[in-house]
Formats: sequence, C-alpha cells, structure tokens
Amino acid sequence: MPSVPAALPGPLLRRRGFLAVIAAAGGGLATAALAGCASGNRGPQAKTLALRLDVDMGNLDPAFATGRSDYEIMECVFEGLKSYRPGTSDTVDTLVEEFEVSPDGLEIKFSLRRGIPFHAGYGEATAEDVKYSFERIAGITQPNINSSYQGDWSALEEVRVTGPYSGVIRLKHLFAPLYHTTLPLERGYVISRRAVLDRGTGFGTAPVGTGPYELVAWEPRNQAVLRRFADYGGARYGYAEKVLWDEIRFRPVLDSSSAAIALTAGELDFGPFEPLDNKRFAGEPGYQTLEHPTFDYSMLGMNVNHANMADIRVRQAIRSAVDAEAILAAAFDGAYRRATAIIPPNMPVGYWGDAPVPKRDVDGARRLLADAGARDLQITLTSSTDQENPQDVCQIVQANLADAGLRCTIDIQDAGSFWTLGGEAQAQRQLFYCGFAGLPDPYWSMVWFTSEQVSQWNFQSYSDTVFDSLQQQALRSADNGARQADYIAMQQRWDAAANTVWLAWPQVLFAGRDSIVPSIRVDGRMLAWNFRERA
Amino acid sequence: MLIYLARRVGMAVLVLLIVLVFLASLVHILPGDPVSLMLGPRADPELIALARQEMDLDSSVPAQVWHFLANAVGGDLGQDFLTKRPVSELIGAALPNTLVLALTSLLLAVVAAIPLAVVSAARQGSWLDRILGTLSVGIVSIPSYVIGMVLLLLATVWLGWLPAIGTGSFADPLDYLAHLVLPALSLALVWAGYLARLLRSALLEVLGQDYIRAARAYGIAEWRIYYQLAMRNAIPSVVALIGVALGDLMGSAIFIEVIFTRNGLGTLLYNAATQRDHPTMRGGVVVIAVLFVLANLLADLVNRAINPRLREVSSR
Repeated sequence: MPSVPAALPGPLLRRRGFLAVIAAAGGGLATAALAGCASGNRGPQAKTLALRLDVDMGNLDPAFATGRSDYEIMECVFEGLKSYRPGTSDTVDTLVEEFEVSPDGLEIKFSLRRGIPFHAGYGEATAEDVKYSFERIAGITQPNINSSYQGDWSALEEVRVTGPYSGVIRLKHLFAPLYHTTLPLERGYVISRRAVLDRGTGFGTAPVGTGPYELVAWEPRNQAVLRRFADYGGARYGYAEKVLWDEIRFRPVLDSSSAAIALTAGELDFGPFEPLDNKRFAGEPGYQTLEHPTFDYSMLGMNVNHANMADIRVRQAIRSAVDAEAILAAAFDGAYRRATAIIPPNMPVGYWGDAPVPKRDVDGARRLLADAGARDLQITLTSSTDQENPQDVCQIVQANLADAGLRCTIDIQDAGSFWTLGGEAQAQRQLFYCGFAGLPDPYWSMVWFTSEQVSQWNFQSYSDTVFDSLQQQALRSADNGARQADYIAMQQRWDAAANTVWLAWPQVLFAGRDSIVPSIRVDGRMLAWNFRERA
Repeated sequence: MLIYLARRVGMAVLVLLIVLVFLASLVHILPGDPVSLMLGPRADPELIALARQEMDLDSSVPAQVWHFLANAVGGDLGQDFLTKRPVSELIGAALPNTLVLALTSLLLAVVAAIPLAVVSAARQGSWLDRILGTLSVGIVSIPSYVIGMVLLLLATVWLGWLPAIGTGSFADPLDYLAHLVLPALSLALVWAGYLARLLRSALLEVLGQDYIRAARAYGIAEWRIYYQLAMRNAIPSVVALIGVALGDLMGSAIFIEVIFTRNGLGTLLYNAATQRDHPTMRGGVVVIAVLFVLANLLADLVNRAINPRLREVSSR
C-alpha cells in the first residue's frame, strides 16, 4: 500500500493513542454500566429505616441547630427532662423521675432517672450535665457561646445542683413557654458536658446524648447514619415501645421529585414531600400519605405606617377583595388549611375558634375604596423568593385587587433583601406576602408583632400597647385558662386593626411505604426512633 | 512556549482575582444582610456582629481578598459557619466526586460524538444524517436536569437497574460506578449532541480538501480516511472546546448532583447558597473557577500540541 502523504507535520499527540484511550475508556464505562446494573436497585436492608430529609444535616448541637433536618436527627440522639408524647400535645417525663414546680412557679425541682448512660462511654447523665446544658444555651456559662436560642432560657437564673441526680431550675420570672417549647424540645436536651469540652465545635457533627440512637457516620449531602445505642438507658420506655430499627439512615434528597422517584425505587421509606409529589402517592397501593399540622402561618400583611395603607378602609377593602380560598386551591394545591387568625387549632393554648372567616366581597371592597377616596390607588405587593409559590400567590392577589379597582405591582425580592432590609426599605413596604414558622406555644407566634418589633420583624408596623401588655401577661402566667383568654383578646384586637389577611396554616405532607407506621411529633417533625412496622 | 505559558498563567491568576473581588463585593453590593437571614429572627445584634466578624464580612473588599488569599496559600479556605468544619475538608470530600462526574461525562460525550459525526458526514444529506441531526439538535436543546429526571425514572423505577440517589463509595468501585452512570449520562448527552454537530461540520470541511481526494485516489479504505486522515485535522476544533465543556459540565453538575443527591461541589454550593453560608460558598466558587481556568489552559496546550498551525501563529 502506498504511503499516505501527511497533510501537516506529525502531531505530538498521536491520533492512534488518542482513539485508543477513548476506546479503552468507553469499554471501561460500558463494563462499569453493566456492573452497575448488576448491583443496582438496592433497597433498604431489614431493620434499616431510610428517611428523607429535605435539607442536609447542619449542626446537631442544641445551642446551634437550625432546622427541621437537624431536629429530626436530634430526636433520636438526645433526650430532655420532658418530651411530647408521640402524636399528642401532652408532655411526659423522659429523663426525670420527679419534676415538681413550686407554688410560685419560680423553682422546679427535678430528680433524674439513674443509670442513664451517654453515648461513646461518656458516663451517666447527672444533674451537672443538666446544669451545663441549660446554662450554656442561656449564656450563663463562661465563655458565653452566644446561642441564637438564649431567648428560650431568658428566664433562667441558674440550675442549682443538689445531688448527683437532683437539682433545682431557678427562674427569674415565670416563663410559660418553658413547659411547651423550651423543656420538651431541642433547647431542653441534656448533653454530656465532658463530651462538649472534649469535642469543642466538632460536637455539632459528633454529638453525644442519651437517646436510643447514636450518630455513627455523617457523609455530607449523602446520609447521616444512626445506629441503635446498645446501652440505651430506656428513658422513653415509660411511654413508648422498644425501638425497632437497627439502623436509621437520614438521606438528604433536596429535590422533592427526585425523592418521590427514590421512594418508588425502594431507596426511601418515608419522608416529607411537596404537595404535587405527595399527591402522586395518595391512594397508590403500597404507599401511604399523611398530612400533619404545624404551628406555621402565611399571610398577606399591610404596613399601616405606609401612606397607602394608613386608612383602615383601604385595608378592609383589600381584606374583602382577596380570595383566600382561590389561593389555597391554586397556589397551595389544596394541601393547607385556611387560616382565620395567627394561632392554629392544634396549638395547645390560644386558638380563637370564633374568629371571623372573611368572605370575598368585591362590591363591598369597591365601596370601601370609594369611601376612602382611594379608587385610583396604585400599590406594591412584595414577597420573597423563599416563600411558597410567591409568583402564584401574588398574581392571584393582583387579579383579586384588580377586580376591586386597585392596581397592584408585584415585587418578588431575594430572601436576603426581603427579610433583612430594615429602615427606609421596610417603611416603603405596603402589601406583602410571607409566612413565619411557629412552635407549640403561642408566645412564639405573637412575639414578632409587638411594638418593639416594629422596623424589625413586625412588617405590619402594628403597634398596640394593650396587645403588648397582654403578651407580657400571657408570658408570665402559669394558668392556661388565663392565657387562652389573653391570646384570644390579642387576636381580636389584631383583627380589628385589619392589617392582615390570613391565608394558610401550612401542613407537613408526608408519603411513604404503607408497611411503615410513622410517628410524628406535635410540631410535624418525624420521630424516627418511634417508627414501627405494620403488623 | 514559556512566554506563552507565562502569559496564560498570568491571565488565569487575573481571572481568579476578579472572581475573588466579585465574591467579596457581592456581600457589600447586594441589599440585605445574609447573616441576619441565616441566623433568623431569634439572633440578637451581638450574635449577628460576631457571626459577621467570624465570616470576615465586615472587612473591606481588598482586605477580604487578601485575608482569603493569605489563608488559602496555607490550605485554609475558612470554616463552614453551620457545621464548623474546615471548608477545605468539605471541598476535599466533594471535589473528587464532581471531577469524576465531569470527566466521565466528557469522555462519554466524546466517545459518542465521534462515530455520530463520522456517520453523519459520510452520509451527508441522507435520511440518516437528517435523523441524527434532528436528534443531536433536539438533545442539545433539552436541559440536562430534564434528561436526568427522565433517565432517573427510566432506569430506577421502570427498569429497576440502577440506584436513584447517592454517590456510593470509592471503597466499593462497582457501587460507585452504579451511582455514576445516570448522572454522567445526563450530562454527557447534551454535549454529545453538540460535539457531534461540531465535528460533523469540521469533518465535511476537511473531507473536501485535496489530500483526502488524493488518499481516495490511492484507494485507501474509507474508514481510514474518516478515522485517521480526516479526523486528525477535524479533532482540534473539538479539543479547543473541551475546556469550555468541562467548565459547563462543572456548572451543570450543580443541578445533576441535586437531582441525584450526589455529594459533590454542586450540592455543596447549593446548600451553602440556600443557607447563606458565605465561607463555603466562596471556597466552592473559587475552586470551580480554578478548575475552569485550568481546564481551559490545558485544552489550549493540548490544542497547540495537536495543531501545528497554532504553534506557528503563537511563535511568531
């Protein structure tokens, strides 16, 4: 064969070598793919529970943990003096065997169960650990760790240790949420003092508690693996059955649709889903769905300090014009309950059952606007990218207001701008759509709407001294009947100010295999340690 | 060659400096306070101030850049604000997975594009060429995350062949590869379509040249003409794009890693961005920028090596 004339001088990288590399790599990948086929579709092993997290674990230190993912893992790892009985809003004793509140409510004597070991050989839980756990978050220990949650222990004066297993929690003043949020939730977990001192900032990702499971591995963005704690002290066995799972894997699947596919493929057993993905499993054989209420709320707020919103008739007109039912159906896929006030019916205290349910009245809205001389009003509706379906909600409101003759411009801002721009930017805000997360005590729902929060988180600029004093009164009351009356009075005053259109009390939507019996905490968090298998 | 290399490295350093200045400026330019948002309404001003100080957000832009560079030289990219872990450790755990994903995708794309281009060029204007052209353009226009979702459904739910989520472990290579197949394919398909169209055009141009006609006149086999003679002069146009492709694949990996729940730079950045964790976000973006710059530099050097015309131009 004649030689081929070279078009150009010989290349440094020979094409034969180049193509050979590609061919070899291609062959390797094909082999890999086939090997993958052979080992694919791995479902969870027996007695292993795989749960979806919608955000990766961040920090499991009770002083710094930030969100639902952290809390759901922490529920397996830590225990507090008190807990919520699974599936109820009753609190029960966990680490304590005696818990006695003094008549003035300022001292709580506690006596710990004996022989409750911490994970990793850190010894028994003692009153010194209780003291350290609570005073550390309160900012009493030195150096002050500056926890974001100092407010949960703001009433704490000290924890006095009276014996290895006994002590007294002394308060500066009554603090009603102590019994509903501080003690039975994350800020009431008891941690090992020695472990915190040993592990330093690493404690957040290598926690030591007394719970039925210990964290044995955290692969960021892949999984957190919890293994049954062999020496578990059984503090929860007074109100729950023995734990079932040898291993619990929390998988952070950020995308809800991917999580739905993983559930179908057998790689997840249960977890929270977005409304559309949750609906896929409703009524499907082999699967179950579950809606669980939260204490969260979403609303349309009106800044009464803005000239456009100063006239109460304009605010009442907006309230009449907005079709909350349409928003629930179109923007929230019918998955949430309609809110009639800030406190939902599942809150242990403070639900206003007789709250008015505004009906859409476009003619009434027109009349109110005419009375207020505001027929040509142009307003701005602001929201944030981190809210649920802000585009849909805002467009529905825009159309609703147009029906009443109000022109509305939509401004959806980055979350950083929406939530943290104070001063002039906040003063210029008119109508806004947003929501807040709540806890199982009404104090935490109301606290952002007092006068001292104007220019901070009280975007309505709602200022009412009676409301403020009722909030203080309810905070320092141990009488649930009196608190109920206070919170209803507060909501009535708020309603009269007509600065808010209540939209929804969001729910957590779960889906999973029907062979699993889930266990959910009062605030909608998964209690993985208490999940069972259906008989 | 040395002057060329020095010039390119200088440019790369300049690009990285611009990226660092841009990242440091973002915090000052964008309205709102990321720290207040991250810590939530229950954080008091003292804590917010401490957090800003910890993340070096109070310093001026030049000071932030300088502090970062001074620490980065010693391998310290800062500390993740939420987990309190070193950013370099988090990136170290994520980077190999992203690199493997991007390189595998690139390899798959090239392996698929070459035969597709040859077949199209050999049958220019035929129904096969038209079908391949339509398919290539169609795939190019579909975002990789859509392809990812379809592949996920197909291979995990309908066929049950491959795992849906996770990364697998390097310690178990088969499991790792099983987790790699779908994400790599999702990324590779788009680039395979694009490279196939590009290579086809380059091949058609080369095939019209005299030396190819001469080769045919000598009776050389067609496969040798396509795969040996024509490909040699067509392939540089693809190699020139590989740097860009690698950068794009690293970017697209963000979506793909989120969909497939892979532990990689993409999910690391996504988490950091949603949680406003500035140190991790800065470290991740800088590493991606470094990789992008290096990939382009490498592609240019390879291109010079296999394309003598470029060597001649730059040596003048």
